[in-house]
Amino acid sequence: MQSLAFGLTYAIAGGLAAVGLGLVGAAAVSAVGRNPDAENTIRNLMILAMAFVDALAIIGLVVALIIKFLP
Amino acid sequence: MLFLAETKGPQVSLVAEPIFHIGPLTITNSNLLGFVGSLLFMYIFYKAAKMIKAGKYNRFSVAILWLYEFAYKTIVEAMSGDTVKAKRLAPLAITLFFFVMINNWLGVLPFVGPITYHGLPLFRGLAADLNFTAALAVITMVTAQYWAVQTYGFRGNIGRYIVNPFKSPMHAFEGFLELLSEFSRLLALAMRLFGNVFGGEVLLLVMGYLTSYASPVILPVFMLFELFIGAIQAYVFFMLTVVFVALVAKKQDAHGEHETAVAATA
Repeated sequence: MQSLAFGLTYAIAGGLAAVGLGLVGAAAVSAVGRNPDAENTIRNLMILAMAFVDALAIIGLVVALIIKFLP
Repeated sequence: MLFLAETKGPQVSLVAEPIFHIGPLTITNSNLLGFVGSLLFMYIFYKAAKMIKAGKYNRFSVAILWLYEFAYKTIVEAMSGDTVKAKRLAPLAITLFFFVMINNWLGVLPFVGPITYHGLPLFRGLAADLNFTAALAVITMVTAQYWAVQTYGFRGNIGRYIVNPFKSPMHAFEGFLELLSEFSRLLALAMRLFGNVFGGEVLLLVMGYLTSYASPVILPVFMLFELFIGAIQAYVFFMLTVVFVALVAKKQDAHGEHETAVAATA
């Protein structure tokens, strides 16, 4: 049961964060396609947004590790 | 693959382990690396300031100057061009940026895990200890409240959160949500930095374990990735500090919309 909780906690967080990262990346690519001059600004914004999405997945990882290693 | 199955899996410790005690003070392994990081941080910036004041420009001092100006420009933009306020915030925010970045980078270095002392690792990344990131988050939120008191006044600042529900129930509910969001910001700020640095450590451990003999080839790639993540997370922490302060640095019309998109996600 504990292994299942560990797996699911990270799987759900990681999967949904992957969807979010896909949305961010797709939006950034289409923005560059529309306005190639603004590539540098868009890249910075994209990395910032990706860091926000990433953080949620990694908080999920930490919670999963708490389930696994703290009784 | 047999030897892989036989070895014990990597041991992950969520909390920093105490190494020794000075009177009532407990010194953990995160503290030790933090001392190293602080000394390095002070040395680097003392030297850079001395070189720049003497007009000596080489790669080292120009790199520091470039990073500093990049951070300062971000603050001025977030304050919508108000250089007086930007100069007041700059010392705190830019110190946070460089301090977190240097400590994140120190935590990736190969000497951090393997050196042990009575079976415990002697060093551990500073931000891989929740106490440190929580302290930084508290500093950020207290600074934001301090600026809010200066902008709105003491009673006005409380009035942002607590509104008489008989006068306008809608605004009372909004104020309650605002109060709740302050605490969720505090928690998210601490957990984000902790999670990224700690997650990076676990990633390196697991990768080193899984690739066993191939790890000298594989691990440097992940270490480079961790260096990148460390810098990005330091920048994100700095950016959020600036945004939280900039949100309250200027008076908005009562319950006006928050135009900064970054703040809405935090």
